[in-house]
Formats: sequence, C-alpha cells, structure tokens
Amino acid sequence: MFWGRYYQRLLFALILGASSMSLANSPNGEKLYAEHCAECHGEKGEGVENEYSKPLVGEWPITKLIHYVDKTMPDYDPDLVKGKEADAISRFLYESFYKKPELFQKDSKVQLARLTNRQYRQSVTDLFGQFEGHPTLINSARGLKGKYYNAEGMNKRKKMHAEQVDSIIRFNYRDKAALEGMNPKKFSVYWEGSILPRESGWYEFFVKSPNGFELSVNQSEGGPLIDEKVTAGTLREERAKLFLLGGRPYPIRLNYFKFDDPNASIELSWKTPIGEKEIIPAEYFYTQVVPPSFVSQQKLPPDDASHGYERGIQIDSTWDEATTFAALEASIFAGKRMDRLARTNEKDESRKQKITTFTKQFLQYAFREKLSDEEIERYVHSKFTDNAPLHISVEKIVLTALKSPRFLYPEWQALAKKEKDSSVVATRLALYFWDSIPDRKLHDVIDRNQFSKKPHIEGQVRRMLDDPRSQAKLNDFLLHWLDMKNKELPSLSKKVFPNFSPALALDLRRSLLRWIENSIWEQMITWPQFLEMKTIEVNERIASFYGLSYPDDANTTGFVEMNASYLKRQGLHTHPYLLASHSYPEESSPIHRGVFTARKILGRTLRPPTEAVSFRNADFDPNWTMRQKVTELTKAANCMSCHDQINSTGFVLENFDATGRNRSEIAGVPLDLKVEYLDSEGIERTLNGSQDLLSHALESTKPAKSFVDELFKHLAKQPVQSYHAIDTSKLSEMLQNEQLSLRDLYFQLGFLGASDGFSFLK
Amino acid sequence: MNFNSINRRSALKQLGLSSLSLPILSQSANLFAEETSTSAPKQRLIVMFSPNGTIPNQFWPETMGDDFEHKTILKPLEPFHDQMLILRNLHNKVKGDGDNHMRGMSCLLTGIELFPGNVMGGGNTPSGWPKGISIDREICKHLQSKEETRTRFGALHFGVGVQDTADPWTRMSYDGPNKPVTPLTDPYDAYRKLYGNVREKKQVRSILDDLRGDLNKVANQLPESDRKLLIEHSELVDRMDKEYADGSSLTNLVAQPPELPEGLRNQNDNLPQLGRLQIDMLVNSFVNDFARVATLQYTKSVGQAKMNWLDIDDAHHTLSHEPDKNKQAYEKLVRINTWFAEELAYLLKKLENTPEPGSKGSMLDHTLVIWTNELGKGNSHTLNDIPFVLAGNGFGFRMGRSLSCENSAHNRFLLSLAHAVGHPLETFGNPKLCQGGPLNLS
Repeated sequence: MFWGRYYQRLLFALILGASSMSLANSPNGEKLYAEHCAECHGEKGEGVENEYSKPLVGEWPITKLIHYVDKTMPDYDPDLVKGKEADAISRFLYESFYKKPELFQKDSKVQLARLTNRQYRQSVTDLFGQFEGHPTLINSARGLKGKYYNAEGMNKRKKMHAEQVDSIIRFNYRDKAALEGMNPKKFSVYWEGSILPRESGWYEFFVKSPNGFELSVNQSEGGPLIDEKVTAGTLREERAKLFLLGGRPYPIRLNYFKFDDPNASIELSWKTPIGEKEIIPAEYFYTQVVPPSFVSQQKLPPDDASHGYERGIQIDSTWDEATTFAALEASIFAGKRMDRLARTNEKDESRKQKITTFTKQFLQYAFREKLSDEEIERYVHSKFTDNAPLHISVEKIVLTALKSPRFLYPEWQALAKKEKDSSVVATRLALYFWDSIPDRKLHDVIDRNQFSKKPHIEGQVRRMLDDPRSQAKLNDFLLHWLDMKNKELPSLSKKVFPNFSPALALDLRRSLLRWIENSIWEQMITWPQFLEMKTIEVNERIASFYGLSYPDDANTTGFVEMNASYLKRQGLHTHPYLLASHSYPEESSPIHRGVFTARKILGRTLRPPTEAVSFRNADFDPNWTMRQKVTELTKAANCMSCHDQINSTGFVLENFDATGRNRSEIAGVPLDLKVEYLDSEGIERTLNGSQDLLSHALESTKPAKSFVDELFKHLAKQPVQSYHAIDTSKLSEMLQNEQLSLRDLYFQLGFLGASDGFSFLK
Repeated sequence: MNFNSINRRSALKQLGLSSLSLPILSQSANLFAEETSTSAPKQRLIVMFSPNGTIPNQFWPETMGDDFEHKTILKPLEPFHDQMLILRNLHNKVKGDGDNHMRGMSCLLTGIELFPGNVMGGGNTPSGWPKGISIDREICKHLQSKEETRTRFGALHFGVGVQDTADPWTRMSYDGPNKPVTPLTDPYDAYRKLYGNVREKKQVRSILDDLRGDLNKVANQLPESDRKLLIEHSELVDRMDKEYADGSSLTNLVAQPPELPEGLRNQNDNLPQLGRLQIDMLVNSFVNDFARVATLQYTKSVGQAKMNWLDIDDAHHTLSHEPDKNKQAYEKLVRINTWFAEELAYLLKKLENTPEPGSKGSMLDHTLVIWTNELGKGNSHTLNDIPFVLAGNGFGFRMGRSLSCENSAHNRFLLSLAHAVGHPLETFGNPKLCQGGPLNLS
C-alpha cells in the first residue's frame, strides 16, 4: 500500500512530462530523465520529500531496469515511455547514480536509544546476578535427579529408597510403587535439577496427577509456583505461567506425594513461547541445581522493528508505565532479599553499612560506571534516613537506578564523551554480545587499567563470547534471520497431511535450532558450511515421518545427527522446518519460499509488493500445478519486477511438498524444476533444483554481505554505517572465503563496533 | 457492585453533600427511598480465628444468662457485654479423615467431612480438603445472588501471619468441595486489591524529582540533536507524576483508605501491627460496602507464632501441648488468648465507632462478629466446646448473655447463621449433624 503511493506520484510526474517527449533518433537519457522522472525522483536521483523520497538506487542489472521502465513507467500507461526512450533513461540513471549508493549516504551516526525489551530484561536479571552469581551449568548430565522415599506413617520423607536420574517426568505407577521394593501405598519422590529454556518468553508449566505435588521453577521468594500438596486422589492438572529468559538455567523442583491414594501417576509438561503443550523433553533438564535468578514478569510493549531489527528509538506512556512497574517489581524484590544480596543478616552489626554498600554497587552496575562522591551522596546516602526502614531505602535506590536515563539509555556516555573511554567500550561490549550490562570482571579490569590495550580488550571479548549469554543473543538473531522469531509453528491441513502433527512441527523446529547451536559453537562452522547444512538432527518422530531409519542407540535427548543427503536435502533452505513454515496449509508456497530464499540465502533485496494480492487456490484450475497457478497470479509487469526473482527461487524448491517431503511429481505430472534466474550481476542463469540454487549462493558475494549487515544491526541496534572501523565488504569476503568462522565473525563485529572511536593504548 | 450505594452516592454528589453528612442525612429524612424503605438493614458477618485451643478455665463464664462474668481471657471484651453472645457446649462433631487440628480448622465453617487424601497429621487418618462449602462463602453467595445485597467483592479474607502453604491446617474458607480460599496475608496485597496500587505510586512519586534532575543532567551533556528522546521522557515523567498524584485508583469512596505505614514487613514480629492494619482495612471495606462478609485469620491451626511482644519466646502451638500443670505455659497461653481478645476488642470498638452508612446506629449494630478456634483445648485436642464468642447485633440474635447449646453439633449454629440472613437452608454440611435445625438464638 505504502509503495503504491509513490508509484501514483511517479505517474503524475510522467504525465506532466509526456507532452514534450523527444522524438529524436537517439534520445538523450539525461534530458528525458529531467523531463519525466526528476520531479518525483529528484534531479540527481536523490528522491523528493513527499514524492518518492528514497534515492533511486538498487541492485538490478541494466537489462532488468530497462525492461522495468519500459513496461511500467508510467504504469497507468506504460506506452508513454517505450523502447529507445526507456533504454536511454535507464542507461542514464544506471550510469549516473543507480549503482552508486555512496552518493546518497548521509553522515550517519550512532543515535541515542533506550534499552530494547530484551536488553532491559537481560540487564535487570544480570544486575541481581552480580550479587548472587550468574547461574552456570558445568558439564551437567541431562535429566532430573529423583530422590525416592518411603513415607511410612507421615507424608514426609522417611527413608530414602533410591536416587536416580529421570530424563522426563511421565510416570504411571497405577497401584504399584514408583520403584521395586518400595511401599506402594505411601511414597514420595523429589525431583530436582535445572531447566534451560532455549528462547525468551512466557512458559506455561503443567503438572497432572491424582496425588499431591508442588512445583517450583526459579522461585526465590514466596511459595512454590504450583501448590497442590493436598489431594483427594482425583486426577487433575494445574498450570502456571512464567516469563523466562532463554539460554539461562533455572532451578526446578517437583515434589510428589503418594499417600494412600488408590492410583499414582505424574506428568510434567510445558508450553514454550512458540510451541504446543508437551511433556518437557529431556534435553532441557540438567541434574545440577543452580540458584534462582530474578526475572522480571512485567509485560513490556513491543519495540520498534520497522527496520528489520528491534531498537529503542521510541518511548511513550505505555512504555514508561510498563518499565516503571518492572522497576517496582525489581525494587520490591531487592527490598525483600536485601540481606542475601548484601551478604548480611539481621543480627549483623554492620548490616546497614553492608546494605548501603550493596546499593552503591547496584547503582554503579546499573549506570555502568563509577559514581562521583556527590552522586553517591545524592543517590545513596540521602536515601538512608534514620526513621525509614532499611528495605524502603533499598527499594527507592533500586527504583531510582532502573528509572534513570543513565540505565535506560546505555549509549548516552558514548554520545556525551568526546573521547570514547574504557567504560564506553565495556558498555558496548556487554550490549553487543549479551544485550546486558558489563559484568564484575569488566569493571575489575577497567579499575585495574587492564582494559585499554587491544590485546586486553580482545581477551575480554574472547571470555565474553564463551559466556552462554553470547550464544543466546546469536540464537536470537538467527531465529530472526531464519524468519522463525515469534512465528507460530507451521500448521498444515490435518486432512491433507494427517501425520504432520504440531508435535512434529515442534521437533523440526528443535532439529534446526539444535543443529545451529551445535554447528556454530561446537563445530565452529563457516558461512559456506552454514548454507550447505550437511547434517541434520533427527529424532524418532521426524525419522518416521520422513521415512528414515532411526538408530536404537540414540542419546537421552532423542536426537541423532544424520547425513542430510539421506533426507535428500541440499542446503539450509531445504530443512523441512523452513519449507513447512513457508507453505500454505494444503500446498507448498513457492512465493513464501522464494521470498525467503531470495532474501536470506541469496542476499537479494526485495521491496514490499505494490499491492497485496492474496493467493486463493479456488481461483485456479484444480489440475494446474502450483507453479502454473503462481505464474498466472504474478504475470502482471508490475508484479514481475520482483516476482521474476521470487518465483524462480521458489519454483526450484517445488520438489518438496508442504511438509518438506521429497516429491518428483504432482498428481502424476512430473515436476519441472528448471527456472531462469537473473542474478544481481545481470547474468541469466538456469537453475535446476535446490542444489543449483545452493551452488549459486556459495559462489555469490551477496549473501555473506547481507548476513554481515543484518548481524551487525542486530548486535548494535544501530546501522553499520554509523561506525567507521568496520569494513563489512572485507568481512563478508573473509566469511565467504572461510577465513572467518561464523563465531569469528560475531567476535569481529562485536569487537570492532564496541571499540569504534576508541584509541587503544599502545 | 452495589447499585444502591452507587445511586445514593451519585445522588449525594448532585446535592453537593459530602459523605461525612451521610449518617445524619439518612437519619433525618427518607430522602433516599430505595435505601431506607425497600431494602432491609445491611447484615454483615466477620469470622475471626485464632488457633490452638483456649484455656477453658480462664475463658468460659461460670454462669449462663445475662449476668455472665468475664474471666481473664474475655476481660478485654467487658465493655461489649450487652452486645455479646457466648455459645457454650457447642461441639464440632464432624468425624472421619484428618487429625483434630485439620478437622478443627477445615470443618469449622464447613461442618462436613474431609475427603480422604494424602495429608497426614499428628493422628487419625490422612485427609484432603473438605467436601463442601464454608458458611461464610455460602452466605456471601446468597448475598451476591441478589441485587440489593450484592457488593464489589462479596467476601474478603484477611490473614495475619498465615504461612505460604495450602493445606487443611491453613485454610478455613472453602468455595465448595476441594476449593480452598486463600486469605490475603500481606496488608499491601490487600491494600492493592481494595484501593489499587497506592503504595507503589507513592514510592514512584518519591523518586520523580531525582529523575527529572537526572534527565536534565544527562540531556545537557548530549549534543543538541540527541536530546529529543530525553525531552519526551521528561514530559512522560510529568505526566506520570500528575496521574499518580491522584493516589487511589478508586474515586467516590465513602471513606478514604486507612493510612498504610511504609515498609511494614510481613513477618512474625510485626503480627500486632499487621493485624491492626488488616482490621482497619476490613472495617474500611465495609464502610465502602466492598463486601458484607469477611474472615480474619490469625496464623493457622498449629500456628507457631512467637509472641515476642508479650515477652513469650515459645512458639504458640508447641506451648499449647504443655500439660495444665506446667504453670508457666498455662499462664503464657492465657496471655496469648487474652491478647487475641484485645485484638477482637479493637475490632469491635472500631465497628462501634463507625456510624452505619445510610442508616441508624453503629456498624456494630449491623454486623455479627464471631471469634472462634479450631480446638476446645490445646493439650487435649478436643473438638468439644469450641469457643464461639459472638458480638454485634447484625444477625438479630438476642445478645448480652451466655448460652448453653446443650452439646449440639456446631452445624446447627452454622445453620442459624444462614437463617439469620434470610437463607433458610434445611441442612448445612453433614445433614445428620443438623438434626434439630438451627439453634434458636433470638
């Protein structure tokens, strides 16, 4: 819709120019452009405010540009500029500015922005983590540790019978004991360990049992999340919701009591932010028990994502109120827990002093730098008056810290300081790698003047990259890059694909994310290896659906790594999850697949459609293939400007049905996968299937470049043009040539971005 | 929502009268016909609970009838003698699963057995939740079913030092079989439920000046072009300040919320203040007609409060197990129970001093307060002679006396409560325990 307006204006401009159209044999492009185009596009293609405001630059080859001008300009009467005129105009603008985006580059600089939601939540959690420690899992085994007790006489643990690791909690003991040799009438089991959710968001937990149970997930203050100790032996299911940050472990404990009830069973399920209710899979459980962390449960309004990445450029009263409530929630928590946070107790003589020190440190961590004496007096000491209870002072200081612009606008120092100093670099590193605040270690090295030479800083970056928070952030980016973030699971027609269950969709999603985590962080793969995706993670359900044999010796998570060729895959874009999530409920969708592949795998830029046309299967001859239907639907010249690209990159994937299963024919008609694809250099290529598409992606420099740009925006929440030290062309070349692994790229972008403008000490 | 009171309030507003003049107005003229002529006087119920049995010798009057004497424990209630009704020889006869503390607590207001279950107490068989609704919730449901007696919450359940666990020792109100009602134990939570998050707003406002200063300071250090967001932010701060200055999220309150002290923590040593706060809010919520039924639960059955403020270091329940001959324990238990009587006296005084909105007399004239306990006596764990001290004239009982109930099951008393609010149930709880029908208390 938005784009349609520009075209209408452009038309108007062309009508004005039409009367004076040149009839000379070799038309003058410059003159014609001035006559027909300049009013909307500007004399030098710079764009015109309220008309076509963007510079006239792009990546089309000249042939396509001529074709487009010829066919569509002006689109109310494409006959007005035809043939030689179209040719001349196109050549003029192509030579003069179309391929020179640098002509239009405005002096870009880092903009003041507030914390994004993710940054806000991560920062608040880590603020408390500075005092209580960041929970970390160290080589912990999968599953939960179950302590099995006989409960003679009392509903309390009496005598431990056994201790064992259980990978999932789904037991039906009926009228029997949990374990052989136990009293079947009276027993209890206490499961404990940690749970490590992959993504951030709202998790709903469910416990189903006819017996007594109590579930705690990350509770540090107050009672359990679900309290159902008392029971009359009737089967019931209780639930509770919790916001959790992905990539961090939380303690989990399930207490279970069977006491004279006729039957015994218990199930522990959850519903993840994108997902279906399911028994919590073993891969999320660890036997090690970590301490709880504070995680804000406040809902926050969504961030601006109009530029393809979340950034905090807007504030309004909803945001102000939501962050105020979040700050209140944190302040009340701090007040309740101040003794633990300050490592003191009510009998400690220096309690007040320790609590004062705690609040001072809290502020410094929140403000990401040391406070002056005057500031300490104002923010801290003035809040401790004789008659106010200590925890009220603590609440006020925490509230002040979290509401302060010094906390909420992390780049303010970078903008205020003429010379970027160590704390600016540390602030940025923490933001770029963790979406959070600098940790104790960073503060320490700054204090010790060990954060000013290049090797010092690089050393810290290496340390930071090993922290699970870095992985969580890259994960978050890749979810976005793969079009998976906050997107519902593919839901295909039950009638057409009865076996493609939501559970299978969830497993496929997990398969893809597991592969990504493993390959980037364990295998340290390169960009070409990423695109090639030579292996695929498969569990029993996936194996069964796609007709693979599933090995007997699978580990506790149920996933095994298989050669992707067993499943006839040719690259990341053919992972069944991506194919299924770019499908209609009953059919493959070449358009959705084409847009995804063109943008992500081939790094092409596509504009939003001039007008939204929806696909309705019923509009077409039912005997047609999807390819025929889409070709018909998009044949208008206006559509074809982009759809020539989209359709071809979608049609080559037609050998995969909506579920991502291989096929060679549709309703008895053999598939034709061959397409003509015009690449960004203007070269017409014949692609015959997804392998050809992959080969082309591996040769082209575009995809890597676009990936680098996207990743940087996601890390810094600022466009890369605002930084001087980063040469994305060079980085993408190194990425393409396998001189950098994806992990190295992450390192480089974060490091270069954070140290931009900083003078290293020699 | 009570439509009558809304109408009355808006009518008052139109007349430009403040709520202060309410009682006088209603007494002087039948200006508001729907209030005074068509609807019966308001009836309210408060059940106050204290745990672990009493010390019978220092509690029960020796004589029945009008001239009963106030022994040590009931001494603080002497000023309310004429408005009191003491029910003697009334027993909790509910049998079945659960130990006496559990049945004492969970059958106290339900009068019905507990389901078999998995919670094992100090004796008897394990049990679950009770099989039926409690009388406070039954009366609340009855009042809420009729437009003229319907209120915003119907019933409010206040706790004082009630632990964060859900079991038959800790709950006395039930919405039905297997449906325990959790009391509001933190006064700040109660305050938020009743009046909105006033305390939080106050706390936020207390830092806004600092925040303004901070925004200015930061903005001044930034280049001109980067200040826009911070200027917008300052405007948001002003906006919030103004909005929060209004305080309560409720307007048109008949009575303003009680003053909530800053930062009172929900812990043992603060029980006296926590209790008073809850009482203040309870009475205020009645004045504002948020509810007609309330419970006030001090700790729980088997409660282990350490009443340092009475110079008692022992935990209450542990103390209650001591034999009578342990004079020290005996004396401490008398002090503990007397303290509860003082708290009840505070509540009664408060009700007495509060003019009944829109009617004659005091709020105590329109309220029935029941003080009870899960056991007759702590060290015997008996469910006989459950303490039932009634005060206030709200239910039309004949007050100012001590009455023997002749060893009736307490179900009959629960039944008479229902009858008194125009809800003539045939039975309540276990029907077998209702033989003889409601007690005649008029």
